[in-house]
Amino acid sequence: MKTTTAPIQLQHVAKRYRHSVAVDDVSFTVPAGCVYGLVGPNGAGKTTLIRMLLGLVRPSAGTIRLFGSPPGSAGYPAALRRTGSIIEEPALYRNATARSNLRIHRTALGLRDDPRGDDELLTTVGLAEFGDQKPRRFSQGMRQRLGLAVALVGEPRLLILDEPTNALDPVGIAGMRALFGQLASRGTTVLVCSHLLAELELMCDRVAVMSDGHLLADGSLESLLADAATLHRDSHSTQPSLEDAFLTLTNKEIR
Amino acid sequence: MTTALRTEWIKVRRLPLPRYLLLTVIIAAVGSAVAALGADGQSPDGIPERAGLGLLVAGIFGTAAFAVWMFAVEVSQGTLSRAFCVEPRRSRVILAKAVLATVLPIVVVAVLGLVTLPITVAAVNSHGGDSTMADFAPNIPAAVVQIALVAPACFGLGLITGSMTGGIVASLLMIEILPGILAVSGLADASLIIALSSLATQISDGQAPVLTGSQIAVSPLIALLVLAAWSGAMLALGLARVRSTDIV
Repeated sequence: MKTTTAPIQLQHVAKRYRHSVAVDDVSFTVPAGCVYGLVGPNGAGKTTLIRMLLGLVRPSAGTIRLFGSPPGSAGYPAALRRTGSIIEEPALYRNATARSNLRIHRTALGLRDDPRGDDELLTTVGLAEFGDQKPRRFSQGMRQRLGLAVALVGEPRLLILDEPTNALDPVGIAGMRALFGQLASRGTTVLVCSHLLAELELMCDRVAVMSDGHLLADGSLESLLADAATLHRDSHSTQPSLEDAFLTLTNKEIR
Repeated sequence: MTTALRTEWIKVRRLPLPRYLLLTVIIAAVGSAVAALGADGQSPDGIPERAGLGLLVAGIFGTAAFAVWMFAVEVSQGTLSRAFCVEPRRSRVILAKAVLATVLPIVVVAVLGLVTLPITVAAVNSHGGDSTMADFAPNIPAAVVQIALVAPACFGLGLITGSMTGGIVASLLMIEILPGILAVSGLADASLIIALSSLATQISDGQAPVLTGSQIAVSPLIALLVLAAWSGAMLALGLARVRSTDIV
């Protein structure tokens, strides 16, 4: 069945704590089948926003819709089951084997055991030989790969990934970039949070920039770069990069 | 709910701590029963307590540890967010855990009770006694009732504290204090505090265990209701805490 509803819709979403505001009046829509980048400095509110999307943190204001269903609605559990995610550190049972981690997640999704599918996922993320090993013995990069394999269980229509290339080597990053491209070409929507702006520039169709809980910009990569070029016509002799656009929007200077 | 139960069951089977706990309880229960067979110079009266000591102590310790672990493992490994990302109806996940945290220890204690029963009878008879399995069979439901009441309370304390250490410390305090307040014939025989005092008595002078401590005698029905209310309250408090907390 073709997905027509935008996988992610945020309208005036805010999260306020007693002494701080993590997210303030953020609205954007992530269309189906694109790789969408969410960038911002530390403390910008990206992870809080992702946690609100996944129903782990309750918003103070605004509306969140995942595949058209707001958290707490009857359709939300089904929407979450179509969503794979990694939030900061991949959530793994460190004392269970890589295969067991996949099996536990598969069962939680209400799916049948699929050893062949698990092997394919492990091969996809480059862990084919490590299926019977426990993540506590893995390097951080390997845990990140296994976290992605877990997120891919059940062929989700939406992937929400917070720093998915964290601790990966250049080959691993390139492999992940290619994987995201393949997934998007098959109609899977990918929302990626990352500090690696050059990487996002290579993999994303659209980008949102956040700072201090606010959304500063949201649009296609081309329009964001064009805006940056207009703002910095004098100081840039070449086409500006996403990093230039990011620094311009967040009023940061390279020290 | 079925999916949540299956998921929790897979976790129990795939993660190592439940296996270690089970092994410990089996060794303690069967070991203490077998050891009673070879005891010298004991009157047959003290043999059943000695034979059942491992099952009582390890069973209750094991139940407390397992019940707390059911939730604390998710917190310590950072997998709680994953569990709630798949099933946002948190009550289902928590209730599935509570069911397994209660049912599995009951099954283990009941089966081990049945396994050690003939060994206990053999031990008593080998020391000059004249017993049948029917004489000691009531000890098994007494232990099962105690486990059924202790497990959800310990699980609730695990939810409230959100940590293995905090949950176990709180559970042990509760296990020690509750039987001291409410001691009832049959239930009290299976309580940790009595088992520990029994162990101490036997180690010190080789005598049969004596019920000690200040105890308020109430009817078994009232005691059951109070203990059930206590367990229910712990579970409800823990559930409310998990439901209302942002997972960060």
